Amino acid sequence: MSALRAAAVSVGLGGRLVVREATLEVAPGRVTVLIGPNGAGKSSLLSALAGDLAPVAGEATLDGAALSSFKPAALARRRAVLAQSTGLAFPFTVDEVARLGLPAGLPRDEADSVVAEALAAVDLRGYESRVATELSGGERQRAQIARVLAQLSAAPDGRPRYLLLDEPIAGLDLAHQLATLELARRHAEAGGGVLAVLHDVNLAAMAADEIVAMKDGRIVAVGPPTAVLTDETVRQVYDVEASVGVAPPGPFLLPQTARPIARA
Amino acid sequence: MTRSLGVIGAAALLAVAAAASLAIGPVQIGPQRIIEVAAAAYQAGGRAGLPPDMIRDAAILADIRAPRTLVGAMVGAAMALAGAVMQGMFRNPLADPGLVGVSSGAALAAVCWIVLGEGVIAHLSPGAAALGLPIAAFFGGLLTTLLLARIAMRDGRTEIAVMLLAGVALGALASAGTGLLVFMARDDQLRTFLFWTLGSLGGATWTKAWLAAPFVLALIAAAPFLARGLDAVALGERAAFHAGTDVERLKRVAVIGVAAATAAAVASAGAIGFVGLAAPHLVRLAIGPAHRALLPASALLGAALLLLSDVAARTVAAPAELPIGVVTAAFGAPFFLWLLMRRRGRMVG
Repeated sequence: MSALRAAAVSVGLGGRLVVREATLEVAPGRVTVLIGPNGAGKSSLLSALAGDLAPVAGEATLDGAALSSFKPAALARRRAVLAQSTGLAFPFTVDEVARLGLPAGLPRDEADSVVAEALAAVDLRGYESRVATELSGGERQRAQIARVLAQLSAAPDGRPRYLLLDEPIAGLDLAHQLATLELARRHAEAGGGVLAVLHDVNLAAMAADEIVAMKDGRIVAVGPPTAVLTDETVRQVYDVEASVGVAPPGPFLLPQTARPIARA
Repeated sequence: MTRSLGVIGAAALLAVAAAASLAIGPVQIGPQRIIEVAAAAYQAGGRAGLPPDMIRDAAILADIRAPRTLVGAMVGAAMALAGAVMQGMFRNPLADPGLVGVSSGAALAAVCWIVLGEGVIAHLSPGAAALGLPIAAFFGGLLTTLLLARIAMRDGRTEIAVMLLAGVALGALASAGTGLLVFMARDDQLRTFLFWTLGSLGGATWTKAWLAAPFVLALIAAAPFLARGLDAVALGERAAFHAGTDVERLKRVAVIGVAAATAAAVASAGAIGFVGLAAPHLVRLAIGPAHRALLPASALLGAALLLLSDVAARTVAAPAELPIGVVTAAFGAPFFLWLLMRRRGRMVG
C-alpha cells in the first residue's frame, strides 16, 4: 500500500540534530497532524518527508523508494508542499502564482480549469489579476495554498498524492482556518494523504485522524487525538499544566485553564 | 495578450534602433537609401558591380555600420538577458552582471589575456588567438559569478546586502587587477584599457560579430528552458523544488549562460553598465515578471537600448565619439538610484 514514510529519520541542521530517529507513516485517506513546541523539529521532519532535507540517518520513502531517488518533477507529481512562509520575489498576479504549481506541458484548458478550481477553493475567485505581493498576509497565504492545490489536482494518475502543510493556517482568519482544514480533510477523503504542522491544539484535535507529538527532535506520542491529547502528554510536550476536557467531537483544551510550568 | 504586445513592441523598437544605427553617422544614409543600395548590390551580385555613387555608401554600410549594428544588438541582448536571468536566479531586481562585478571579472580576464597572454598568442594561429579573448572573458565571468553565488546565497536565500556588497568587492578586486595591468602595460596597450573600462562599439568588425555570436546564442537558446524554472524560483529555491523544478540544474545552466553572455558582451564591447539592469526592469513594469515573456522582451529591449546609446555616443560630440559606457551610465545610474529609492522600504530583510 502507498505511503509516505520516515524510518528512524534523523535530520541535522547547522551541525545540530534537530530530528532524532523519527518513524512516521503518512497514509492515504488520513490526516496526520504534527504538534509540539517551537524548535521541536516538526518543520524539519516535514522537510525530510518533502524530500528537500536529506536525512543524516534513516530513510524517507515514498511507496518504498527513497525520496532522494525521485527527480524533482516526478516528486512534484506525488506530493505538494506548503512551506511555513513562502516569499515572492517579483510581483506575480494571483493567477500566475497558482499556475506555478502546474506541471510542464499541461494542456491549456486543463490548466485553466485546475487553477480556477484551486482559486475557488481558497476563496480567491475574482483576485486572478491582482498582484500577489500587494495582498494582505492571509490572502497571500491563500494564493500559495491555491498553488499547492493546483499542483495536487493537475494531471491525476490514480496514485495517491500527499499534501504536506507547514503551519497552513497561521495568519488566516477563523473562517479561512476552518476552510483550509476542510480542504485537507477533503483531500484525505478523496484518497490522498495529509501531513500538517499545527500549533493550535484544539484545531489539531479537530482536524486529525492521528496526532504525532514531538519534543526536542523526538516523537513522544502517536495516536488518535483522544489518546494523545491528555493532561500528561500536554505537560510533557508543552511544559504546560492544563486539564484537557472531552466533548462529543473530541478532546479540547481551554487556554484559560492552562498554566506554564517552569522547566527544571 | 499584454505580454505578446510587449514582445512585439520591443521588437519594433529594436527595428527602429537598428535602422537608426545603420543610417546615422558622419555620412547620413536614410532608410530608403539603405534599401536601394542593398537591392542594387543584390542585383549586381556584389559591391563591385554597383553604380559609382553607391559604392561609397555600400562600403560604409557593409564594412562599418552593419557589423557595428550587429555587434551592438548582440551585446545589448546578451547583457539584458544576462541581467534578467541573474535577477531571477538571485530573486532580486537589483542584480546585474555589471553591478555585481561579473563584467569586471570578465574584463580582467580579457585584459590578462591581452597583456600576459602575449607569449601564448604568438604561438597561436590568428583565429585561435582571437577566440582566446572571449574564452578568457568567459572564464573570468564564470569564476566571478560562482564566487558571488557562493558568498551571497545561503540555504537557498540571497541576502541582498551581502550580494551587492560582495559584488562591489569582487568588482573592486577585479578593477585592482586591471589597474595593476595598466601599470605594467605599454603605451599602445593603454588605449585598449579605456575600451575595456568604458566600453565601445567602435572596433566592431565582422570577425568580432562571428566570435560573439555563439556565446550570445548559447544564452538565447537556453532562455526558453530557463523561463519556467525562474518563475518558480521567485517562490524561493525550496518552494521551487517542491513545485518540481530541478533547482541545481537550473542554477548551473543560468550561471554558465550568464557568464557566456557577459563574456561575449565584454569581449566585443568592453564593460558597459546598466543595460542589464534597466532593460529587464522596464519590461517587468510594462508586462509583469513572467519569464516566458520577460526574457525575450528584455533581450529585444536591451539590444534596442544599446543601439540607441551607441547612436547617441557617436552623434553627441561628433566628430569625436564618446565611450558608450558614459552614455549608458548617464542614463542608467539615475535610473538605478530611482529604483533603489522606490524599493527602499522593502530593501531590508
